Amino acid sequence: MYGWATFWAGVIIVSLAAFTGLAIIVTIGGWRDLLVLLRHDSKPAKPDRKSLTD
Amino acid sequence: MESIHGAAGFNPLDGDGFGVGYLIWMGFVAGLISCAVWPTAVMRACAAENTQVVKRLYTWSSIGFMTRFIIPQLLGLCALAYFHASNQGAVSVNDHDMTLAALPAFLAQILPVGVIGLIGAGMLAAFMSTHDSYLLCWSSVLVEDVIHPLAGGQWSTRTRLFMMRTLILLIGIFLYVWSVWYPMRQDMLDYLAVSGAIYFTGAFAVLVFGIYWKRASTMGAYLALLCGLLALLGLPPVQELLGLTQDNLGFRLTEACVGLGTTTLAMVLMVAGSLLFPDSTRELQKD
Repeated sequence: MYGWATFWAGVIIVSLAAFTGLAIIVTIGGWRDLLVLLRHDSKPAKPDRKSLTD
Repeated sequence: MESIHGAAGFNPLDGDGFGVGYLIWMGFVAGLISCAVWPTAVMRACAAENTQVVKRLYTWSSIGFMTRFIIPQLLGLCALAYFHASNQGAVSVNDHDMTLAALPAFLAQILPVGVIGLIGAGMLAAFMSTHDSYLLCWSSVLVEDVIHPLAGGQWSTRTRLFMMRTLILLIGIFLYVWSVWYPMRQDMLDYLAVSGAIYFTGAFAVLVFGIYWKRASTMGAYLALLCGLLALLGLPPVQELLGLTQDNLGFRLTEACVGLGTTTLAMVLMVAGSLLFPDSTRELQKD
């Protein structure tokens, strides 16, 4: 029983840690893309879309 | 957990636990259906640039999928432990109404004022965003794929929009009536799986054979989709209506049994219908 309890505790901890890490990465990435987008919007003459997709 | 469920609380294969059938059913529903047939997941795959992007998408989103199952289950475990401790062990886990109310009651008791408002607003926002997407999805499916083709396909955009808005209202009324007065009498997850199975058991057979079997026919697809109605037998009120109770049968007709049986039968009917009623040459040429 304790083996199973340890297993489920591990599953919960690992998945929550992975999700938190992913959320942080996505949030930082989203903010960076938004900042790039805003910077390009202020210079409409030469929009550089490539950096957004890289 | 140990004092309430014993070893079955930890080991799903324990004699008093979920059992192999339930695990296969949940693996099928939560693992395969939720990523291959569930419209919102399929839309992501269809919108991807190529198969490599789809693979990457599913690899990364699996973390989110895993967590969205883990968090409610973890909170449910916390609620069980909390009420078990605060009620000196007098907790009924077989009362479905009580287990449904346990999580919100638990959060209401432990969260401070302010935080509970934020959680409530977040839940309401998630609830509304889910429902507006589903209302739009089902009303547009009904109009564009059912009503409009049956009416001859000559309607103007304005008429179709009017029909969609009317259907949104009617579906909303149906959702209200159903959610308030339907006597569920089973776990929410099982209810979701069984009610979803009415659609996805047939859709699964149609998708698999439609994509990977050249001889799949329209009649086979109709039979497989109609077979999905048998999943209704997994709902307790329907079982009671038809006399399929444990007393009459001698065993309990579980959700897993009904779901897996319906899926198997849908695939059999898809194959049989396709072999017995193949598409005519004219239909094949039209495709």
